[in-house]
Amino acid sequence: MLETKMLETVDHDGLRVVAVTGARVDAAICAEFKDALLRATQEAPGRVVLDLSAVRFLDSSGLGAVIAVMKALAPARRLELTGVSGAVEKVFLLTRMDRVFVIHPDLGEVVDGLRRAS
Amino acid sequence: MGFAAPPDAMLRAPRRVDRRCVFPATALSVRRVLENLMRDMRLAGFGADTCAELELLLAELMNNVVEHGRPRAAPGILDVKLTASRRGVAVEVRDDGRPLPPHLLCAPVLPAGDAAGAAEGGYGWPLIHMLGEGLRHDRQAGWNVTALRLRSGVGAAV
Repeated sequence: MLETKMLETVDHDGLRVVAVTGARVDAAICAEFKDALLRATQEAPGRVVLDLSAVRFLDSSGLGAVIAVMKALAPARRLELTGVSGAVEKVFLLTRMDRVFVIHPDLGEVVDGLRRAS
Repeated sequence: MGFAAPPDAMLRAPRRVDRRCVFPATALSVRRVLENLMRDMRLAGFGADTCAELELLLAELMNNVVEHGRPRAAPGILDVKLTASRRGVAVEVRDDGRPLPPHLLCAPVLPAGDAAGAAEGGYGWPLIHMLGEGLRHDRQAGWNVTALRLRSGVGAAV
């Protein structure tokens, strides 16, 4: 509706990175965002890392969409996060979701870790 | 070059913001109003933490009205006042939707849960209580009137 393309995906060995391209994950798009993220994670390998570095604002409905997708992927696949900073980080800290999600400070390190492991 | 630098205090002290917005209670209108209010706040010199916390507080208050106030096919009206100065930030949200369930007014707890059982909703009012203080709520002639102040230093406390 608002964004024609909300997500960009890149596959690595055993890991799919899904980057959010929009600056806002809010109540106006959370349903479309959730559907797009579910589609983007179909047939994904065991680990999916959601890159939120472009996101400047996320509210509780956006958070709910991320949680819903994490639960839809479990238990076979894991949704991890990266690029969580500023206002977005505040939401994860205040709701204590920082304790539920694996949050990587640096996406580069995750990908490097894969290379080292292979 | 002939221009004296303004004293630090002048650079730091934000200018007063006084806004009132009346608009249809839809998620898209809420987004537009938030973008406008936050631009005004930044231009007035309020810091990134204050703006981020205010934006989240207002979003949760207004989206609750959009979500629960009236049927989606026939949205009601939101009437939002924002007053911000160096002494603090106050908001008042009026809506003509159904009455707010009173249990939400006493600090609700965060939904519990781990990775497998984390709740997908129920974070809105707990966030409002964490971000705001001095909450007052009243029902006046078919309107909900909710007023509160932005709590200071939330960002430092988490």
